[in-house]
Amino acid sequence: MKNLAFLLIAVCLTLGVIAATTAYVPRLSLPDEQLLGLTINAAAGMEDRDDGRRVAIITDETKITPEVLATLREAGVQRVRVKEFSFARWSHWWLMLIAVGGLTVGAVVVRTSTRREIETAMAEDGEKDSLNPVAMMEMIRETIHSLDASLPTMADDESRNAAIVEQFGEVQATMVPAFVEARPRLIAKLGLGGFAELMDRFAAMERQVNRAWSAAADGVTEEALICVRAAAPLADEAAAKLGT
Amino acid sequence: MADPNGGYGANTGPVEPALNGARSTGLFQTRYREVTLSAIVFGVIVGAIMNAAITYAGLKIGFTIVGSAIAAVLGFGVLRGLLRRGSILEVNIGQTIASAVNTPNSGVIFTVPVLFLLGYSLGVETADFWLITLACMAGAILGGAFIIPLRKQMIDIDRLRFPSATGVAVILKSPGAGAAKALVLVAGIVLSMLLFAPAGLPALTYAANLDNLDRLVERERITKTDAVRTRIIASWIEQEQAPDWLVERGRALTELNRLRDERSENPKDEILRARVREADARVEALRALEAGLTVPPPPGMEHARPLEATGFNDDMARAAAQAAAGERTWDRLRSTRFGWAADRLPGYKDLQLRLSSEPLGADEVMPPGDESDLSLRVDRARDGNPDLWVTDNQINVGRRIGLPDQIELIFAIAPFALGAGFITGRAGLMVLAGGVLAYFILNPVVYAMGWVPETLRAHEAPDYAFFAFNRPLGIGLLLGGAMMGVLVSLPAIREAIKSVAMAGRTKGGSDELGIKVLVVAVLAALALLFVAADFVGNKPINTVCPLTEVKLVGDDAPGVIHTVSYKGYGLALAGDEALAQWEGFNGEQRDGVLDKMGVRPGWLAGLNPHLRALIIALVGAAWIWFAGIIIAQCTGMTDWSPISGMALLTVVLVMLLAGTGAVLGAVLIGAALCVAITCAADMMADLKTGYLVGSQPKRQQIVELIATGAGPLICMMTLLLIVSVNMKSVGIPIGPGTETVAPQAQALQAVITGVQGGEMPYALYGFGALLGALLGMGAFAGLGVLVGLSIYLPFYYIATYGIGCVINIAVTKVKGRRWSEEWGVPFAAGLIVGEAILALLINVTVLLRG
Repeated sequence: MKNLAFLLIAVCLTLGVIAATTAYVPRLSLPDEQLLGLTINAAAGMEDRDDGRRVAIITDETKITPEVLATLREAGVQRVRVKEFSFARWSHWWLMLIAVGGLTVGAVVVRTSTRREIETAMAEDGEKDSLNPVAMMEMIRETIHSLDASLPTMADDESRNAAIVEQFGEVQATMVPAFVEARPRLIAKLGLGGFAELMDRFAAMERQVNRAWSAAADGVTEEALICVRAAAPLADEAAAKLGT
Repeated sequence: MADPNGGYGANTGPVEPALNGARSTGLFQTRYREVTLSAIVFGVIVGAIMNAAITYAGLKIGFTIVGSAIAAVLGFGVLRGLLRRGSILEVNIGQTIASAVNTPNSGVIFTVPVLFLLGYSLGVETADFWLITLACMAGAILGGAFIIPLRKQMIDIDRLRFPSATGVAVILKSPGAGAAKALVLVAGIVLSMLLFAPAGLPALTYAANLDNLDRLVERERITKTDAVRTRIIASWIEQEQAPDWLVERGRALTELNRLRDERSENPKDEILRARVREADARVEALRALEAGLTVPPPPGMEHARPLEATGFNDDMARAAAQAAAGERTWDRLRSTRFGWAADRLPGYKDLQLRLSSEPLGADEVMPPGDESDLSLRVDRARDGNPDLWVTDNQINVGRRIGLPDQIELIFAIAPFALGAGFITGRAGLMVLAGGVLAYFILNPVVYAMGWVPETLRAHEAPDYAFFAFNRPLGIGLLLGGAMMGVLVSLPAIREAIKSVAMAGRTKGGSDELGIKVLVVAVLAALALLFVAADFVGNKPINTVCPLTEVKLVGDDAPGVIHTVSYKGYGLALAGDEALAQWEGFNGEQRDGVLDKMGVRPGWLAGLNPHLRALIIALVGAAWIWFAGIIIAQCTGMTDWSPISGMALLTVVLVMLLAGTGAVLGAVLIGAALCVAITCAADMMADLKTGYLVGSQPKRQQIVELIATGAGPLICMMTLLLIVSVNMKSVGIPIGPGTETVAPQAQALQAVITGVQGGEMPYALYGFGALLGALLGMGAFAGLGVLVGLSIYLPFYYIATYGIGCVINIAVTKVKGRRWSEEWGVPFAAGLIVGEAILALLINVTVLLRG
């Protein structure tokens, strides 16, 4: 269903842009009163001269007069590009209408299907899903807390720095991206406002993790330790927002 | 949990006191180097150099280079390599300042040069110059201040990717990430430079060897006319003699320059002014005499067409006059500045990969003088040789595989686009899809249905469609998509701003600049914008008296000029008689004068001028906020930013409000906006980098807001320098006929004259916006922005960018996501930075040599 909706969106977008391109290109078969006085905005018609040159019958910036109109029609010109727009002259308004309708239907179907998919996934997989954001959050929290607890027991700053770079490197490379990928599920669960509150805390924690990594990589252990310590309560707050 | 007492062993101090220190929000932190004097000095110097070099490059080629990645690499070299004390965060602050000083240049060069193209003159002695500079500085601060409250929404909540910013973070982290990853990054940089070198190096030119001319013509490096001109100059050098008319023009020009210099020292000397006018008239008379003259080709080239005398530029005329007077040797005429053919460093074009030969078809009738017997499909240049399908910077796969001419499949040779595409990943495919829609479906359909002029050949259709349909539709889609994005994200934006405001009230301060500081910055910038708009809005819009046709500026300017106000415009009139005539006019006659000038009153024409300026400043500021969001979203999702499109809309908006004659005001606000949105995007990108390395946002925000004001000043000064050099050498400030053709400013000029001629396709923007908004309702809010962006951009960059996205998807599928992030992203970051560094080096070289 969702794939069909995406197809519908793609087709309707195509129809929409095609329809739009005809907005300034009225048919010359329209009644004279709809065309007279308009300003031609691109060369109209063409005659091939014997010497091989292609010459426009009417050049741009020409006002459409009865004579101009007659000349163009006589030459078999179907459409001209003009500067002015009017719904009455727009030949493909109906195509735009179809496109708008299709895009609206497609959008509604995509949104409904996505919500349903997420609900189903959440109901089926529950807490055991490896990509479950709750489980991922718990892993991040545990990593931070266990690192915070183990750092005092390490022999020297070099090993502390190495531990931070290694373990927080893992958090940055795998856990955070996996948690962030669960965004649609989190929004479905918490609503956009709740998701924003969660990410506010999560991002504060992540920044401390990132800063700890940078400081450890630079060999500034004191700063790194402070950031690890600062990240721990933020991880708790983020987990609380997630409802764990 | 850790020991509550915080004991960490002998090598560290207690934790709790240090933790308190971690909450300190001071700008300078001593424990872990972040904002330091060396980072500030480094950032300002590197930013200023990049600004000047990229300003010059942007005026030549039409687009600018992102400076953050270059500054990050240089930061390592200087702060960590030379000074041996830089930390990751310190280098990050250095690159933040450098990009803040550099970034405003794209906003300036896309807009301000249009004033020169339209005949305005700007100089350090004019108030307009300083007003525009002030407006741009205000724009830089506004852009940053407006976007800061959205940091949480875009980076923390929406998690926009910001490919280049992610790349910069990878560069910053590379030493700590291990030697292997640093090597991967370096490999990316080296490969990028190798790939880009044959695309960029041909920008470095030198005087061609006479023996090579035929080979250069054959390789399409120079035209036949260039070769003939060069041989003619060579014959003059050999004979130590140039035609009298050229020497005469050179003498007249030298005299004119001398008198102008004298006049600039004594501007009120009426006798001098009269002599300047006489000298000017003499130059014009000589030019008129030359109009019909031709120079026969030199011996050995009798088959070539004679060259028109006007084909020898003023620099050559002056040099010939000096040589004839014995003031310089004849050999000095051998310079590309004087029209001698230029040879270039080798590039992809020299591979000479040409399409297969195809004879002229029976149905192909070519105009007289066409000497080629090849089909137009393979020889569009009509030089008798099949066209190249690989040029210095593009690969035309479509022509190579024989796609119909109305379908373009061209890839830019741009490693940075490849890298940005890789870092963007799957989301970038939407950009590719939009490009395919525009260039593979829309354009061929429009051509097949006959909705383009019949006189167009098939291969001309894509270019026509780009300006007539794609661009307005693309910008419309962007606007609609962004509007829907803002609507859908309102709850998140509300939470983000609430969080910033609440954090500002907590003890110890916040990690962000508080809302109060931002409000003050916005109000100050708004006041500057108002002052600039008010001053410019009350200035006369004309440089020629509409009643007497007398020039009001320059050598012919009359002594008495009156300014009258009518329908929101200031009109300058030459002398008392013109004023009396104007005062005797009725409303209809006055309207007739405006009509004759080709200007229409704006929507706010009936308002008090100060109120009008206030409304324009407010609307401009609101538009800056919205456009800033669009640009930041585009940059965040794809790395591309439609700055010129936004500038175009700003100028149109101001012209609608203030009237189509208010060009100076429109460009002023347009420049401020352009600078603002580029700074907004740069601020957000720098904050993203900072986020990834753990920098405190507040520190970055403060240094960026302070440093960014210097950017417009440096860029405007560089622009003036370029204009003054151009004026001395070719007598044209900027644009066609000079080295700095200012392509974006020319596009803006076309829009301004288009608006004045009633040529804006508002309906296309509107329908595009409708489609963009509906797209944003579906899968995700940014879809309209992505598709709009890709319809708006030239396809060749999209195509290369798309390859990067596809490679990412393939690598992720084969090696897994982690591998792709750990090894692919550093390599992609290298691709981005390698091209940027080489491009900057090339441009600095060209600037120094020029």
